Amino acid sequence: MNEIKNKNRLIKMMSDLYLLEKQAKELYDDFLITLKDDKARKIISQIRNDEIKHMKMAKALLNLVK
Amino acid sequence: MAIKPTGSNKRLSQKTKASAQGRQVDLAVTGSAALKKLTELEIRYRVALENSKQLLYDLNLKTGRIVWSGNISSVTGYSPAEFIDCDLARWEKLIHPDDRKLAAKLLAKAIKTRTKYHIEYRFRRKNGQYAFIEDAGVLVDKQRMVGTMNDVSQLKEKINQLERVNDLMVGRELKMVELKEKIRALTGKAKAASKAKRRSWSDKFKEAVAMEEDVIWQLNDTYRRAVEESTISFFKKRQAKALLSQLTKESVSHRRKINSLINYERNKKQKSAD
Repeated sequence: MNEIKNKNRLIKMMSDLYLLEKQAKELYDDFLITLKDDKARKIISQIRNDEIKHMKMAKALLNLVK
Repeated sequence: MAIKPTGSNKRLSQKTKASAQGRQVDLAVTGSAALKKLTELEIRYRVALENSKQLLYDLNLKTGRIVWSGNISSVTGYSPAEFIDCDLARWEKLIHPDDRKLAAKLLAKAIKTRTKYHIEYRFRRKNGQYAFIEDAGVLVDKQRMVGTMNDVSQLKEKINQLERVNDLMVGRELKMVELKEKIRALTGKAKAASKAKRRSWSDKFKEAVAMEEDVIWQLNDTYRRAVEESTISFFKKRQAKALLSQLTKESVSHRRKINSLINYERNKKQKSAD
């Protein structure tokens, strides 16, 4: 019983992680709409691309625990 | 004074005769003057009626026959010859179907209670169009009602125009209130947008740092639970650990990069201030 509970909790955590990565990606998307500084744009753009990768990783983690 | 019997009676009778004849002549003269006066009055009255937009009616309640006078053609569109035979039944037929019942009802009531008849109704003219009529009648005896039918179409039209103008004005005022509300809402939105715009990039980056910290916190917690979780196989645990480590490493790196951006913005601001 406890095992199932724990597993479900872990699945929930992985889902939350995926959502957080998605939110982070959207936040950097917003930044890129109005940010003018080239240096800042470059860094934010890299981070944003990483977030897309992170979303995939979070999805993979979710599949692993399922 | 005593009257002498001789010759005086004859004189007296002659005098009386002459006086009586004089009175008759006076009466005749007075009668003809009154008639002349009456005729003049009637002419004036007829001219006044014919130049107004009024009809005068004299209704025989027993037979339903109506004697019409006044400006028949102007009010009804019919010539006097065409309208002269219009009786109570035809008059009722010429009233607009929606007003007919009330007109007849009020007429019956006025006759029954011997009160004045007063109503407004639409009356069909010869061309088929309806004129607004104000009808006011009075019972002069048990069998007769005399009254006027007054064409108030122009007055009605003016009232309608005024009402339309009033409606337009009210509509305009409502529109103005609506527009003011829209402008107020837009101003509010613009203020909020400008407030958001005023937020410096340092503040915005701080938001990103907070986001990354949330991710890192979540990763740490997930990592601990994944390691502890007995339902996950050894192989999957290793994979999960690797993925979570990489995620954590990169999120920490993100946090560092954004913190450096905060410093960069701060320096830029400092330089522009100097």
